[in-house]
Amino acid sequence: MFDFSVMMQGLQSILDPTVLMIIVGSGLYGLFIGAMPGLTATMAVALLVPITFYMDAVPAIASIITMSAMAIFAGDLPGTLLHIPGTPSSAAYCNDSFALAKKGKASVVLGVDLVLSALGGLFGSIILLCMAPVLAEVALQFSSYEFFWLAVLGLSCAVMISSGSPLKGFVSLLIGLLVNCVGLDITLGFPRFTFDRPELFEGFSFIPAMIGMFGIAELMKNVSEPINRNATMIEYSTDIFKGIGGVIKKYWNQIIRSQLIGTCIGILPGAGGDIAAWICYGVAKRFSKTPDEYGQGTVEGIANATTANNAAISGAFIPALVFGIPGDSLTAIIIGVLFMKGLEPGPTLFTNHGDFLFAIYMVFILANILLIPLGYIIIRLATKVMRVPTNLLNPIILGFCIVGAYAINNANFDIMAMFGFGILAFIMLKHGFPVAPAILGLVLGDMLENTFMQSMIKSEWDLTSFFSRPIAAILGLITVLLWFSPLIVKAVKKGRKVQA
Amino acid sequence: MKKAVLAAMAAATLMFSVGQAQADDFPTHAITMICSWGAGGGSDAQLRFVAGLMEKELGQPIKVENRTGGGGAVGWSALARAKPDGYTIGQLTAELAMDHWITPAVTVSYKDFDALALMNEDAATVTISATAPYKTYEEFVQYLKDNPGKVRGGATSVGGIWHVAMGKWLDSIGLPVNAITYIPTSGSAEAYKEMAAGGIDACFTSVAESATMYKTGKAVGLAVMSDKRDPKFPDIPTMAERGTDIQVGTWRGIGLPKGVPAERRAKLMAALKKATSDPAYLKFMEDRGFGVKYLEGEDFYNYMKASDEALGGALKALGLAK
Repeated sequence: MFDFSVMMQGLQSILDPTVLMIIVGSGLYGLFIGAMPGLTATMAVALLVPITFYMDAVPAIASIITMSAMAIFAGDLPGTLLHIPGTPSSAAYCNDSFALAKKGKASVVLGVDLVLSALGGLFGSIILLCMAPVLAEVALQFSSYEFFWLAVLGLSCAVMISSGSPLKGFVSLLIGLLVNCVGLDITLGFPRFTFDRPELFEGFSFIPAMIGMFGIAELMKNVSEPINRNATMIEYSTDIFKGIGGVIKKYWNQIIRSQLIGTCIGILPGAGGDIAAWICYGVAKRFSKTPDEYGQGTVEGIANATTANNAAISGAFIPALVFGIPGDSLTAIIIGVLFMKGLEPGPTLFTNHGDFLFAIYMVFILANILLIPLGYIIIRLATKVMRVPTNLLNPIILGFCIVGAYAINNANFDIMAMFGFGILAFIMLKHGFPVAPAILGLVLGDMLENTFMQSMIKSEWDLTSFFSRPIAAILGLITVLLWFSPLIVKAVKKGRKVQA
Repeated sequence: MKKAVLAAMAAATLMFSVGQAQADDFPTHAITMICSWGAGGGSDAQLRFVAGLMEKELGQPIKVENRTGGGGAVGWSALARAKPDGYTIGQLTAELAMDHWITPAVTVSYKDFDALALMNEDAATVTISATAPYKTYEEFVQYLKDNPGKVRGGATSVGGIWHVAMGKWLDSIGLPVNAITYIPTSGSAEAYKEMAAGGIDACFTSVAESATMYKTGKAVGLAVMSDKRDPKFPDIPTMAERGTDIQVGTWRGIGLPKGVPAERRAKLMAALKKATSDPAYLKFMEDRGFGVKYLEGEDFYNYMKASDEALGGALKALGLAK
């Protein structure tokens, strides 16, 4: 795979003191950005790019990789402490983290988040190191048919993971999909529910919607139910690593499963950490012995999802490095930086720049190891939030929500949208409708519609084409089985009883 | 009498000093540069690079603000409505010449701006999948004639610049626009992903966007819709060499809201000219695969006007103009 001399060269280039300093610095920057609701890893990287112009290739890419790995973890912090996911990847298990934090277990949750994020990232890095070119070839076999099934699978998981009635979860999902219809449709360019307002042509931005549905709704709940949150939340232990060994031992096989699923989803261009987290959370619930805990505060669900979203980051680099096809906006930026450094992604990168490639892999591993000490410091600082009295904390949270919603497009319209979504979510929660499926509907709605229309135009409206390709047929079959699995389980149980 | 003379002199000095203050001091504080596209994309990267170089010339910070949405219309409307004092400038791109044709609700067009300079132009290509049964330009055209609607093309959403390029090309070789079935995608990356998986047979993206697909041997470039060959891929002929002289491409430049004082405009233009002739900028453009094309003031305005008419015509031919 790599010659020894090439490996040494690669190692040397990252063990340079300036490079190490850059890695630590960008790690802290990533932790800060990820912890701020609304500031995404993509935005942070875009701001970092002009600085990378003045760096060599290895530190330039190293800073971006470290930053994104840290940002995905740090997104769990506001999700756990304030019920506002810092990045979309943390949205899947935000309810659980916050529920546990309210029970005084914030440090346990964050400890699990930190250690398993690092493990997930390491696992993804090792996959990247060992078999990038092979996996990239497989990933490129995914066309619109396969992505359609992937979107359906994700959405089905959303209904399954919703706590309480699946029917209400389904209604919530439909609300999300309906909101997603707003904007110009990509097939015909037809304006839907835009009322001729240019702000609505591209639909509602996802970030303000997410901040509104989690953050604003939570604030409204705080204000309408005057309970002293502080009294319950103040009891936390400072030892975040306590009990982590037990969690890993208890769930080790699930963690490996989620790492695998997470990496595989990450490899597919266009599907990233957010979808990986949702699917792993859904799968974990399906096979869980205690599915009732999901949504109420389950360490098991958090462990599965948090490891998956970090594993997906390394996965996304595989098609980017091998074929120059970006999986998300983050890898798109990285491809741009590679071009500027004269390192064109593609097979030549593997044949001619082995040392650089090896250095990149090592940075992945280093970044995930570094996550533990840096993350520990940030958790110690952040959990102090718990000591702030609610009446002081609420206005600060509101401020963060507004800044976060505004930052994504620099538009006042998004602040109004955020409040609108907050009120919508508040009403939904009051009547027992879970919010998470609506969020996933917003995330996956575009992919669902685009891939459906692409497939239909390609096959001239032949619905059977969704089963015409082997991978698509398998994914389709899994999805359909998933839908009917409760019925099948019931039938099997009934059959056993009759026999007995 | 004496008083009157004094007053006149005072007035004159006052006027002179005001005039001088405007001429000499601009800019006295930070300049805002509006980018209608998201942070991290090609348009944003280019603008931020130029802004960094212009800062040095002007001695004041330039802050790039991404005002996205509405296919660019949100940012351009904000720029058109900004105070014309030279402290708000912004990026204009090819979509400015397209949006108002497609969506009647978009009223902003090139007419709302004073042109500063064009910086970049990227020509469309005709690119086919390496696994296609046709290998050459002639075979591809023949295949299209023999099998109307059989080939699936893609590159952007419907009405995007590369869709228009496809329409114009088909029109120029005497084929109806539905000779190729257009599969809408969110952008070139998704289109090439589909091409690699066998879902799309032909793409019309720029050379820069197609470069890795050419190099990995998954796609073949047949022609460039420009007046000259691309220096990085000199083997791909131009459209004129293929016998049909069409030029379609996307472009990016910088404009001002109408009514900025001429002196300030000149100052900004000088800074921009200096920035775009900086070797670092030229290297950046080459490395990222952006085509360099520089047109100033009136020339850029006329360029936008011509582009607006040409793209409008193509959109009408595709049945997308309303």
